[in-house]
Amino acid sequence: MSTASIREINQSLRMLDARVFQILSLFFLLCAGLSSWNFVIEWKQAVLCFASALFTQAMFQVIEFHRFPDGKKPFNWMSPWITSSSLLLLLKSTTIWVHPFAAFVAISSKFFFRIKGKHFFNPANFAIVISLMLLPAWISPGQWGRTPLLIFFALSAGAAVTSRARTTRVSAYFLTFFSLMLLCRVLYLEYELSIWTHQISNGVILIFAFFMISDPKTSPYSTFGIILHTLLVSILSMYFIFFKYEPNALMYSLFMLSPVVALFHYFKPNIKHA
Amino acid sequence: MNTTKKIMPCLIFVLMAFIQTPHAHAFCGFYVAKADAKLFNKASQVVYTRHENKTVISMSNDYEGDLKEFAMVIPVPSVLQRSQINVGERALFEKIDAYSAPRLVEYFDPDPCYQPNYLETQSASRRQTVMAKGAVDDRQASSFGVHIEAQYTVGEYDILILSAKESDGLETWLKQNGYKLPKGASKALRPYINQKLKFFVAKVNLEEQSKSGLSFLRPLQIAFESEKFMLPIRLGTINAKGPQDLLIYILTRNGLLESTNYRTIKMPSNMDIPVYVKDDFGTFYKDMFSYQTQKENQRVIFTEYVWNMGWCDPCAADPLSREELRKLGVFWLSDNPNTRTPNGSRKMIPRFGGAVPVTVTRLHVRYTKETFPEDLFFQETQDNQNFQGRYVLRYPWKGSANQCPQAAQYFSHLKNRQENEAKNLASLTGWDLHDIREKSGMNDPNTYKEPTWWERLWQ
Repeated sequence: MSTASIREINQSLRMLDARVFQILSLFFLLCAGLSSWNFVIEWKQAVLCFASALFTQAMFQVIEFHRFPDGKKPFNWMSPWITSSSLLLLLKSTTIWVHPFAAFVAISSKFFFRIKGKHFFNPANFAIVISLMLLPAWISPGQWGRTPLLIFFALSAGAAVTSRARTTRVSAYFLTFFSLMLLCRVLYLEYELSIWTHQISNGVILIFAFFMISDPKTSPYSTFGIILHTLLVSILSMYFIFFKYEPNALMYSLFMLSPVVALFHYFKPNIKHA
Repeated sequence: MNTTKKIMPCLIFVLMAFIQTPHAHAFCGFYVAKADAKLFNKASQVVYTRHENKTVISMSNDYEGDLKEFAMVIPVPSVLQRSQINVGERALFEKIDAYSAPRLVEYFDPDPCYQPNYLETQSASRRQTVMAKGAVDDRQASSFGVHIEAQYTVGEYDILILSAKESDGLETWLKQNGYKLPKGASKALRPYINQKLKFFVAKVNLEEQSKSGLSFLRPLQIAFESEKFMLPIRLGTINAKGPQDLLIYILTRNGLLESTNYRTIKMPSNMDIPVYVKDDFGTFYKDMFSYQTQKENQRVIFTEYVWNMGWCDPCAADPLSREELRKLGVFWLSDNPNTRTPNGSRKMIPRFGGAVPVTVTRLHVRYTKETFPEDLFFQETQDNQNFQGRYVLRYPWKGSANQCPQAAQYFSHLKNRQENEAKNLASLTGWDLHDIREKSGMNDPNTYKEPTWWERLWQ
């Protein structure tokens, strides 16, 4: 094989959408969760959820094409796939229609809540908050054992490293701020350090860090913006966790701060993708 | 009196015993035995009743040592008034344990040649044991930064509500007042003091105890309001030797309860197991619990039962009555019995006539300081599917394979079934499969053997 073609392969590997790694990583977690970690979700719910997300995406793309026939885009299957995976991993329900409905809400939110043509809620985050408030659904933050978390962490970190630098930075800043704040509280109250390690090895925190707050479409562009955003999300979460005893604090915090990011972009339109 | 008291924070236990004469119920199997709290020596029992932010915690005290040495220390969110503290009935713990215990049910295979052949049920009995601990005193408290917020005598208990500025002062004060604290107590108390929590400290008032004429300690109950849905377990690990078992019965209005900071999973259930287990269901369940806990690296809380308090199917014991539920803190039940019937219910308790707005979740956790470093936090989910630990015995038909053509088929099928039952048992308990086969009589040369192809050829 010539050097040129090796370079070409390298090039195309690098070009390979970072989301492919995300999809693989989430798919692994989902299979493991369904088969051996006693998740409440059944395969029927999973199939309906994927189908609903893909269908909703197709429907809105067709509508868009009719409205703007010049801007034809290829069918974007990755985004609804990742969104459905996140929904299935986080949201629990014993009612069969909750996941497909949440998937519909998630994908629709991308087309309804837009500023200057860009959606500003992470679709899974949006649907989860709506589901927690209105549907018979809940999140089980304690459902993750510790061993699978290590594998998950390795996979997610791998995916993050191979992906765009900005996404990685969002995850890294958030994890740093959030875990440092938890550490400060543990030290301040003079708890044992084992409580801190127990708190941070929670699967919801990792999924949130790698697949939600780091969403390249809805996170800030500039380093300053990223730091401010992740810091605010961490602070608001701490408030919800320790003053409101809200187990789903991360979801609510990101949901409430997403419009702030959008407004920031609106008033600082000259900032470009990092 | 210079009595040395020990502080062994809130651990609780009970064992129960029951003799059931269940009514036969063909569809769901006959209830034959239960695995209740008495199997687990060091098990504490807590009934946690909660709706919105209103909470009632009942702690079973089956302490069996010298009453002078009994003491209990629990962090509480506020200074409790006298009327927020109550002494409950021990029998209610036995009832709720019996009602929610994992159960064994049995079926008898019908005669494949002709008619069904129903047999009678049998019952199993149990009894119980216990333990608990804790301790404290008052006087010259303020020089140690300890403030006695309130002091009551409730039933056979002397109760203090303390606040402290720092844990060393609290520890010193308790020690000077004759309490022997376990090592590490000060360190364990500190985070609670830093969170401005108060301490509920109970010891036995010997005079009141002898007046009551009771030979045991009754459960203590406290009622309070708090946004935090949690159960403090850290203090209980200070002087624990080895893992401890805790049974928590959570009474709420709606769905299943789970922990938000630990993994909560359902105990494997509804499996067919070899019939010989009937003779020692207790050992089976104990071994299964240990094995399953090990499999999850001891970092898991098992759900053993989730059911609407109005009924059961099959019943290990009758559900608690409205009056009994009220005594355990269910304050939201109206006086008019709700006569709504839940879908699919097959056995109604006539006294109740159907579902009541109370769901009981029975959680069983084996914990150590290492595997459960943080107190338990809970949330109520929207999962309102019933669940019970139920293990099924199927007795083979006792006829002969030559009785009719169907009988041969039956025995061939039976063999596979027994093999599966043995495998189920091995996977649940980690017992040796060969031993199981041996005990089930599967290796017995007299048992039916599938004919070989040549035997079938010239039959």
